[in-house]
Amino acid sequence: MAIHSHLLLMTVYAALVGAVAGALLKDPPRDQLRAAATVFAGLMGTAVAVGWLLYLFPL
Amino acid sequence: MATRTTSKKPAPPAAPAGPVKPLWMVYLLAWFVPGAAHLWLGRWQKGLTFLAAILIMFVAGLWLQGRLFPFEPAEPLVALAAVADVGLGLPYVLAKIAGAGAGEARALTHEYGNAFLITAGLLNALVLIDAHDIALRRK
Repeated sequence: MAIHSHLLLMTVYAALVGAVAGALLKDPPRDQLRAAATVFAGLMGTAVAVGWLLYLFPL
Repeated sequence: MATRTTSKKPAPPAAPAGPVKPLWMVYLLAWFVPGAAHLWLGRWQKGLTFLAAILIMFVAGLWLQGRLFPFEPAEPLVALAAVADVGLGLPYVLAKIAGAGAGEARALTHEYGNAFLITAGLLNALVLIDAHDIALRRK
């Protein structure tokens, strides 16, 4: 089965990196969840922002 | 005139010195199986999180036609990617033995696969450092 959705792959990547980063950064599970959500949102937001920047300024 | 009292707080009990477990075993476990050192040190929730997330990243990387890079000193970026891949420990060794991770450069998801594999190895290196801090009672 081939995946053609770049957005889906990016979301899975950000979620997994966020989960590990959250567990590394904080100790209580509640704080881990918050840190993971922050990292996930940061990765996704940055990717979308850079994506639009490249759309406005194509190579 | 107010007098300043100098009341000394009682000193906290000294923490026992030395690592919780033998450090070489912590390093070996942490490198070989993602999250295993945390499980051994009693940090079950963290250990299971690392184990699940890093293994999913590794399997996804292989499935997405990512490449487990060979050591090629002539190509520094390839060599660095190989170092990151080796950070995965046992999954890396098993994949190499099974002949997986050849990578298909023409596949649409090839670069995603590479990113998943390299990141999984680097995250495991961070997990090893975290296990080191826990073993030394810094966390």
